[in-house]
Amino acid sequence: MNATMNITESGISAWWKSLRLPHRYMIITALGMALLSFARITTNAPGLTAAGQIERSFILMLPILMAGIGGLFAERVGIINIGLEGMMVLGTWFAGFAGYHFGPWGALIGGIIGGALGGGVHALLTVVFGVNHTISGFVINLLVGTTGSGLVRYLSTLYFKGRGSGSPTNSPGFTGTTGQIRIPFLTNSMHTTNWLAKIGKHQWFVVSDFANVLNGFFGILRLEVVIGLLMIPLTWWILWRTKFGLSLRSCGERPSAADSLGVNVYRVQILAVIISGAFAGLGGAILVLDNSGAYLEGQSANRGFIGLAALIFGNWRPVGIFIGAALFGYTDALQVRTTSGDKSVIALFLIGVLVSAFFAFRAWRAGDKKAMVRSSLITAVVLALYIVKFEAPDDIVKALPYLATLVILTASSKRLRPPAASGMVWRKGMVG
Amino acid sequence: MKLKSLYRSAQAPIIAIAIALAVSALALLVGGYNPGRAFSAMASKVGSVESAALIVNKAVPIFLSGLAVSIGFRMGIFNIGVEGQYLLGAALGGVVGAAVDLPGPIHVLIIMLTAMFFSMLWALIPAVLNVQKNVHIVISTIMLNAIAVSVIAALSKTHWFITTAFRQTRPLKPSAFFPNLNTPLRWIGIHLPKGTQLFGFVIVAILVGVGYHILMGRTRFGFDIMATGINPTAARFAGVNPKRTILVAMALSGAIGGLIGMAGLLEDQHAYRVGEFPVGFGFAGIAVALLGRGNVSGLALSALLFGLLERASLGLSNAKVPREFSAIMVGLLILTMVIIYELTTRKVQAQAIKEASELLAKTHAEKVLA
Repeated sequence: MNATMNITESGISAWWKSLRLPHRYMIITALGMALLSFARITTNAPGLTAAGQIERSFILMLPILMAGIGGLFAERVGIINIGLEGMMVLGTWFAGFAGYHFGPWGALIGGIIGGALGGGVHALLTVVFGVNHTISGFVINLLVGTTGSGLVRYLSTLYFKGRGSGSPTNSPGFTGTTGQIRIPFLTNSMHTTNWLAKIGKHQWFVVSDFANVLNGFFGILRLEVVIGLLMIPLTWWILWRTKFGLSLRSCGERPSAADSLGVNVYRVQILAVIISGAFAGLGGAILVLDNSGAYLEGQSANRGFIGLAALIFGNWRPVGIFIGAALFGYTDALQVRTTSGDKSVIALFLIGVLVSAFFAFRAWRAGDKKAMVRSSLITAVVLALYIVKFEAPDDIVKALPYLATLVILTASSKRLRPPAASGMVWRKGMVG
Repeated sequence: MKLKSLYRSAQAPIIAIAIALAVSALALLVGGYNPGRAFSAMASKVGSVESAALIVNKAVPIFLSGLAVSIGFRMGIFNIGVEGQYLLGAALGGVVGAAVDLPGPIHVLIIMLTAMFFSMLWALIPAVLNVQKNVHIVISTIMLNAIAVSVIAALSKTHWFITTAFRQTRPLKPSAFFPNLNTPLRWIGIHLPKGTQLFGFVIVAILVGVGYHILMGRTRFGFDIMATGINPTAARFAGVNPKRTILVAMALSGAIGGLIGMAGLLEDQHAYRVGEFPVGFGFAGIAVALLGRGNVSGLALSALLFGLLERASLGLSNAKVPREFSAIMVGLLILTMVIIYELTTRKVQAQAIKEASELLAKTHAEKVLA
């Protein structure tokens, strides 16, 4: 009995392992959609996959995705970057400043420059001076002012106060957007019918949800969303298909080996950390564009750190980071959109039940009794919450992205493979 | 000899302060302000007996926070979660303190223990997640800070809180007030102006500091923590259980963290007011721990420096400089200090290696000659 089970278990896992990475990602996405759809129908919570929710998710996913990709460049070269949050804040400030003077495209470029400046400071501290990476990142966050008033407050007082609606905590906004891509029958428009919206209205199992996802994407297809998503293949190409990417990754695995092969480790590291900051800054600029072009203090709301969580969840790979960012962006959007009486959070409990039950089942198959008991307990608790239709207080719903980050990191932190030399302060001539 | 080593250890901070001041002056010039006027306006705010008391008052929670953070630093853990831990502890301490009615010292003790307990629980979450599931402590503690703020906000909507100008816990009875040190000061001839007090919590902070010094420098547990921080693998072979050490150290850090908010709660505000209770001590503690390098006297001096800057920043508005500028000065100070520490450490290490190799060569040569 037990033996046959082990065979089937190994059969499934062997099949799973035989799949290529893109196929695995596709299956995970499809399963996720089915899960969402099931939860939507059984709980009667159409908000879960409404086009508006998806549209928000795409926007709110981007800053996290950009921070995650920024973290990827840094950690793949061996530098831990917890200063991403500060670099994102710099990005929001510079985007607010440049946007006010030069419009939406100026905001995007300003954000990139602001973030890159922060990355430069991190590179100076960690690579040139050899300061502990975490300490350097923290100091940058402190100086920029993610933990209270700091550089951005001072700069805002100097440059925003007294200009239009500007104040020490926000910039005067600007009008105009980067523009949007319009595709007939897919884009929300007064002249043509939106087919996807039509399918979505029927509330069919999976089909309507899928149409809503596409509608959320194509309905208002902003250029910054396209640019942000294009960064995923671009990053993959740079890191895994170019000579620079190879040098970069070798610095993060074995800097001394890279050095002995003629790679200028310091130079590659400095460059990669500046790129890392630039990505975080771009993420900040997207936040500013989404806020009608206005910088607002505290706008980044720990998204830099959540990006780092997405990086870990995604196992230091671009598409993995994308899935992580999508997950966090989705909960972020849910948190923003959920009003009292909304059943979306309750529907999330149902998903939680199914997922934790799956973990319990897997632990039982693997014969790991302790893990099984633990997962079963979690299943029971979440099921109870679902049955009594526990309405979480609004403040707790606001903390959803942070809770999701904790839960997802906890559930996924096994079998991860960070770059071998990540976090190591390497000096030329050192063994390692 | 002793004077020389004192000079050596003071050298780095002095250089760092000088550089930080120079860069700050530059930033002021860029902003169109007169650095000389700004600095003298800052200096004018310190110097009186009153300001000395206020500086010490400010330094007390920051010092305690620095201790809580340093325990983690000693074993290579970057605990950013002290902020959420002390706020949650203070809020729940306020709730429990208002709910019970006990004679003086016991009432105070109950509130302190409650705050320490909940702060410890909150600190144990990232510790357990780390040892069980290998979750990155920096990320989990940051998330828990944000969650703590939400939990307090949710808590403030329950019947334990009342509405005044803020949502706040019911005011504490006088039996829960921690005595201040104004009377002993009067005995030695120092008179504080009316409305100013020197927190009695200074005594608690000193006691905790002494306890930390003994624990870290004189006990097996302190040694285990340090060994785990320097070389986890070696520590494990020496019989240290790294998981247990992380859990105990984080619990201890959380318990000390619970005390951070107590001076404000028991001596100043006598209630937990949402939006009014002082925040940011957790982050200031990290900065102080970076400056103080885990050494009690260093931590105390850094905390006092923070208190001084905070107090002096009040003068900035007289020079028409935004008050936020003091935050930039603090950031710059830590930035330069971190770099200079790194450079001096490396110089000392290189020197030690050179001396050792010379000694080795000499003894080897003597052996060959003999």
